Amino acid sequence: MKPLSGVLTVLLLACSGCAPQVAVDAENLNNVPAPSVDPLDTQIALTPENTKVQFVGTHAAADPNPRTGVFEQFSGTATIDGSALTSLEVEIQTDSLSTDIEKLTNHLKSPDFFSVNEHPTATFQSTSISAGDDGKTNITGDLTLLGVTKSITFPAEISTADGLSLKSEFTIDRTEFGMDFGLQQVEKEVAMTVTVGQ
Amino acid sequence: MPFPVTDIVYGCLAPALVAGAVVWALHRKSLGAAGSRFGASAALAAGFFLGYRLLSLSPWMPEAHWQWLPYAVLLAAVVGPIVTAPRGSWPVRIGSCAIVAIAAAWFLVPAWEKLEPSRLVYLIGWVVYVTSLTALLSPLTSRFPGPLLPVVLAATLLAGGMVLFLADILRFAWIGVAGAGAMAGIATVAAFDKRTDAIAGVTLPFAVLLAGALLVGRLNSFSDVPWVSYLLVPLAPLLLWVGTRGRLSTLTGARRAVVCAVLPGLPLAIALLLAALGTRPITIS
Repeated sequence: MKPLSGVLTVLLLACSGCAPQVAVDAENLNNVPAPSVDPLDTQIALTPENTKVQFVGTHAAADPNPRTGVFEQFSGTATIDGSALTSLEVEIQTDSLSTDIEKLTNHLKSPDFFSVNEHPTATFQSTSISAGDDGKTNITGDLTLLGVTKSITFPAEISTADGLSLKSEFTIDRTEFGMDFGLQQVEKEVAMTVTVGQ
Repeated sequence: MPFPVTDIVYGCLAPALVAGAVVWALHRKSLGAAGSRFGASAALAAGFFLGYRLLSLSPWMPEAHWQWLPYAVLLAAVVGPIVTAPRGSWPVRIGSCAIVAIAAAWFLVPAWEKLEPSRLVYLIGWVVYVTSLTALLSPLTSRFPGPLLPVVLAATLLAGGMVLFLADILRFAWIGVAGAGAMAGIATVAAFDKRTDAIAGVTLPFAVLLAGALLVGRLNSFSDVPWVSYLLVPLAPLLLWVGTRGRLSTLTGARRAVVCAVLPGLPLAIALLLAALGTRPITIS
């Protein structure tokens, strides 16, 4: 009974073909003081229905035997100004992590990895979003995991032609967040895939 | 492989060597009764703490409730030999044990809102459990001189580590393994030291270490290992009391050794079996 140790992490996102939940209609504001919201901004709720946050941990061995996990409960908001993503924030319920192997799921939730009782949430809050290479967008923000906040940057393919569509693949170093158990058995780099509306 | 060779060296062999060296050094006649009383206690704490640090099981400064465990063991190792001083009255001994247990429990039991049952229930339950365990174990240290009792305590710590392994928390499983390694080192030295007080004082740090690891393990586990497995393991050495009664007390030599190994081995086997069954998915076709 080999306690498989996957690993994981993080979050983010944006949304997809979902309809905007908040749209400020300037014509109906009459004489009410206008809220400090750009009328062109559109906020889109990120939910497990339109967004997927997946991670892949691999063993530090000749056979990496990768293990995939997902977070099943989270909430967030993506803000679009015209056709550009301007902000992104997500809060993940860490005890919602799931894999195909029950014992692996249990192990990942324990203090060996996510310590979900001690740290029930992980969050991402974007701080800057800029154009990157090959038409991609670089999203920079603060990722808080295990109570440790680090700035990360990841590239994303974003389209707003028909709602928000986003896809991003990147890696994070789990040890930067204090997730340092089993380094001889499980690689410290964790592959993340975030998909919105695809 | 869940247990790399380097981890076994750091988490088991190193604690055994250090604990053996400490108890051997403190049991020299020149140090008198104080050395005898503190020897095993200091050895268990030193060996366990070394293994814990070599494996980097947590930061030096605790950031989570369970990370206070090594410091609770150190406190128990200091107070334990004082509690078991031959001239101490029973109320003082029990009271001192309870105070150490209360201090340890205060830090080890988390203040999570979702904790069920309540934190107060955990505090009271764990303090009563550890105090009772220590009180009932302590007289056995003089009734079982030599390596038998420390071997049983080492096996019990190892079984606790195995329960935590089955509960899918390797970090806590290593706590049991490190404690077992240290106790095995003490047992090795005790094989050549026939004094009746060779391991006096070790029962309180033993109880805090094992019951503490199992407590934080149970609170942080998402497995289906049943409560009874966590509760049963530390109680196993108490079955040695059966060997002090009736016909069993008249046994000698190999027969006595076998009986004394089987008695605590039974509850350990039951605890591990229940833990293993609890972690196996049940499918009905």
